[in-house]
Amino acid sequence: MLHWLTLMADSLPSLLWAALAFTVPLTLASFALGLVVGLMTAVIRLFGPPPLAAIVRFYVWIIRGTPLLVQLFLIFYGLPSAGIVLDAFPAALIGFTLSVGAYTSEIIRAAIGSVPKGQWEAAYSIGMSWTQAMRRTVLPQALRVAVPPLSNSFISLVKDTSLAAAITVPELFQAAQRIVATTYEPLILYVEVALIYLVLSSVLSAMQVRLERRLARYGGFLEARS
Amino acid sequence: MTIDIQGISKRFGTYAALQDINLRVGAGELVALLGPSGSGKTTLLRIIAGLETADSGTVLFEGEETLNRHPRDRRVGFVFQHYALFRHMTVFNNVAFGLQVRPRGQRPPKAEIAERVHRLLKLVQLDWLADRYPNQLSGGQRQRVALARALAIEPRVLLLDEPFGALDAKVRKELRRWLRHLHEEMGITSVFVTHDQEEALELADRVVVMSQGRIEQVGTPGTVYRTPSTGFVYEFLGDVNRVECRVESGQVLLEAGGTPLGGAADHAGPAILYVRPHDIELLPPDERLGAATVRLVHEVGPVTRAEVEYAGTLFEVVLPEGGRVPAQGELVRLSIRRGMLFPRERDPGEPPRPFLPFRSGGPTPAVNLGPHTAGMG
Repeated sequence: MLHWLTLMADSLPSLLWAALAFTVPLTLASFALGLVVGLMTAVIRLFGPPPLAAIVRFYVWIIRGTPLLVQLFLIFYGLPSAGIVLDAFPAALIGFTLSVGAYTSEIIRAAIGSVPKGQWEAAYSIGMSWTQAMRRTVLPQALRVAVPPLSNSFISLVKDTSLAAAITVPELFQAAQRIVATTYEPLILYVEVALIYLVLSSVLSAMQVRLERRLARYGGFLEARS
Repeated sequence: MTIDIQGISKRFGTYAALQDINLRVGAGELVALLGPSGSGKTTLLRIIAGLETADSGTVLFEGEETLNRHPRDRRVGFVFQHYALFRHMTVFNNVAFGLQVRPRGQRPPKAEIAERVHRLLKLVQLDWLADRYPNQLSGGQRQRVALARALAIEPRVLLLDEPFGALDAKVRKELRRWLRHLHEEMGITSVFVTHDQEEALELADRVVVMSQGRIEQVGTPGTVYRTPSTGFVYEFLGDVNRVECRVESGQVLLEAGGTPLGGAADHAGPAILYVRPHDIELLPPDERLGAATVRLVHEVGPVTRAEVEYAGTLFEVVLPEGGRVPAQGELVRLSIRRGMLFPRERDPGEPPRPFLPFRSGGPTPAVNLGPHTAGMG
């Protein structure tokens, strides 16, 4: 038992370092960029010209229809054959951003669609342009609907970043693998890694609860009309 | 500001929602678009606002073409049936929003916006709720916020789509009276849509009665109520008995059975007689005329209504206040004092014929209509 604890304590600093230096930045950056891609994709699908909408639909189809691990391999190991050589971290960032973009675009599309048409019309009738109506009345209301499913995506993403280990990103999971290679203690190390992931996602869940409470200030979810 | 609606038509697929609508709304007028659901009244209102596009025709504001203008450039205040308040904003911000989003050059300074919003909220008597969110308000309060929001942008025209449709009867009446005062105070050219004839008659300067995408009649509340120009208007504005009959030799006969009801000039053949329930009188029975039977008597508030069967046809009658109330099953004589005859086949625009009541004595029309005035048993 004591052996377990000392091994965990000894490996903790390097694991935390890997989490802080790679897992957390990779998660935050790819989620932020993915949201931008997702929003653009959703808006194009809802309001864009048909050819453009067809292109983004194709993008969503490809990303959702193939394994994330295969996508990461394609970007990191496959693209160099086509003359595009990327470092491990940027390759992972691109892979996760594309994945987040495709999944969240569906969430955002549904959330925008859930805002009643009357809200657009009310915005127009008091003098707003399309952009103003979108930015200041529709998106804030869509956000409230989108937060729970977006949080789902976010929490999945934290755990999915462990796939980056396979394309040589020295993140949390890969750091653990390295320590296992020298200590031959897979059980202890992988339990420790699992606990660290659990802590990270718990922090995110708590943030989701706070955000939802903030957004719920102005009304319950069941109220369809205002 | 005047609104000229010229030749507006609109189809939804194969369904003709509006067919060649022509209408002029004068400056400062309060006009009601009245009709059943599906009559096209809301579509017309939305076309005026620019929320819907017309297939053909044009809308002029003060003589100026508006159809290719975005709604936000029309300066039209629109009040929605289900309020459509911005639920993520306080009452204050809902009202202020239209001013806050203006381009920097046209935006009033912050203090002025605040002052104007508070003035409007006072006007709609909701100043004390400025910091609440829409879901914390009652239906009537929400609709008044919606009105304040529409007025904040200083619209040239105020359009209201069934503004009181979602409210209960008492609040509806209160708001109606209040809107009338508001209109008198501000004098903004206003058009509102309603399916409630009482609302239209009480509130509007002029009533536009619509049916199946067409205008049936335009006139003051008094005109459309007293002299409806079509059977539809007769039926839609207030209760009415619709009696199938035929006119022969100047006599109006019940289609079923041929019992004479009165006289009519200038027409022969099948027709429909419209009689308002309060234009029928119940008199002591008269042997020569065949009696009518009181089938049902019911009181609705101050009004006593009776259903009376006469020669196989049921008539709805409103009894005069303070008069004797007949008992169920009692035999009476039914006397129609006023009515309007619409020939079954007539050209559009052809006026209806007045119904000529019998003289109080018996089955002789009040005017001489020739030889065929024989009494019947």
